Amino acid sequence: MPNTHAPNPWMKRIAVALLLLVLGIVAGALISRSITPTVDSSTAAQLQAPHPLQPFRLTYDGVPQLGNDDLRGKWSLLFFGYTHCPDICPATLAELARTYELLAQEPGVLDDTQFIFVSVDPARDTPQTLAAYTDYFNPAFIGVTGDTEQLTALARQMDIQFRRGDGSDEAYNVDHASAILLIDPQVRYHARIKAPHHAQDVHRQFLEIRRQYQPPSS
Amino acid sequence: MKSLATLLTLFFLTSSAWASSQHGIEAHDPWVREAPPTARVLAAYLQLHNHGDKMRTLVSVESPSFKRIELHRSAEKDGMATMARVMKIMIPAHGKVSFEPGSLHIMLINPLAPLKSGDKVDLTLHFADGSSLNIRADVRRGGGGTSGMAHHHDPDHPMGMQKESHGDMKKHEHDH
Repeated sequence: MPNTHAPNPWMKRIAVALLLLVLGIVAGALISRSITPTVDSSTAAQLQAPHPLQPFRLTYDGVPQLGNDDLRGKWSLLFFGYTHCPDICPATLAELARTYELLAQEPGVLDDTQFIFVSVDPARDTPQTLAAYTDYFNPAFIGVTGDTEQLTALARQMDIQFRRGDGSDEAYNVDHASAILLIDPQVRYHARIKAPHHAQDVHRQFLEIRRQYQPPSS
Repeated sequence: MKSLATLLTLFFLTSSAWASSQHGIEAHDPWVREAPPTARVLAAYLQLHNHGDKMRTLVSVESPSFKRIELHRSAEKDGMATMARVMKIMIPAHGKVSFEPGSLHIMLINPLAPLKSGDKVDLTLHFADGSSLNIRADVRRGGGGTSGMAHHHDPDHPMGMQKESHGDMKKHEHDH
């Protein structure tokens, strides 16, 4: 009769295997934590190498709306959308307005930061309607648009897509990328802040990216 | 006087309980996101609870404050924000459907007048069985909550509960 209390060699092996597994998980977690960038990668992806925006120009009825020079020397938070969007766009702009309020508490930050709403629906959004629209969220916000070709040329550089969705006549939807794009003072596409957006996160990530930013040495 | 109040309260309680058990649909916390005065499209949100034994199907919504109303669903897929029209919404027996930011919403098109926080919007929800539900939604400034997080609850405006009424549409005291 074998003694049932004697350590079963298989049990011992399983116990050792389990212990090793747990150690492995802990080690893995520690390592992955140490190599995780300081910017929260779950909601923001900082680009490995910021890349300069090729010259672009947005015009409406021949009137210039936005070009590379308007972005130079400032941090720009860009969001693409349209004013006939009742759900995602106002929610994102409301979060950006709260981000602005949070940034207002950081000395000097707003002096070189601009918030730009780019409408991908020039058929319905005029510069006037855009001005009224962005003004509601924050008078400092800028609303711009251009023709579809110009918008595509700009959006493509930041891997932003948009296309007319369903709906007829004046009530159609426009599908659009939901990310907030961060352009640095050298007019480089610097980071992409993915949705869902919450002001505290956007605020924290933006400040962190600014801290790590190396201005050009010239 | 006190007994009259009690009687009225009892009457109200029993009649609303009756409405609830009879028709089963309750609307909770209806609200409209305040939008820029020039906005041509707004969104309304609420939760619909079906206390009945039969599935109910919401097919349309109308309001004296808007030219047109549709049901839409926003979604976030592969970094794209999309929105698609939904022709009907099924509310399962003893189930609920939430209309919330970043998801299902009642799309209010072409307001007859600009709306601002504090205004009320009357909505009539029509169901496939021919019944309807009159509700009154508060206009309020909504935060983001694109993930559907409900941080739009206002302590001054606790969760409203509005029950179904059949037959003649209640005419509300004031129009906008």
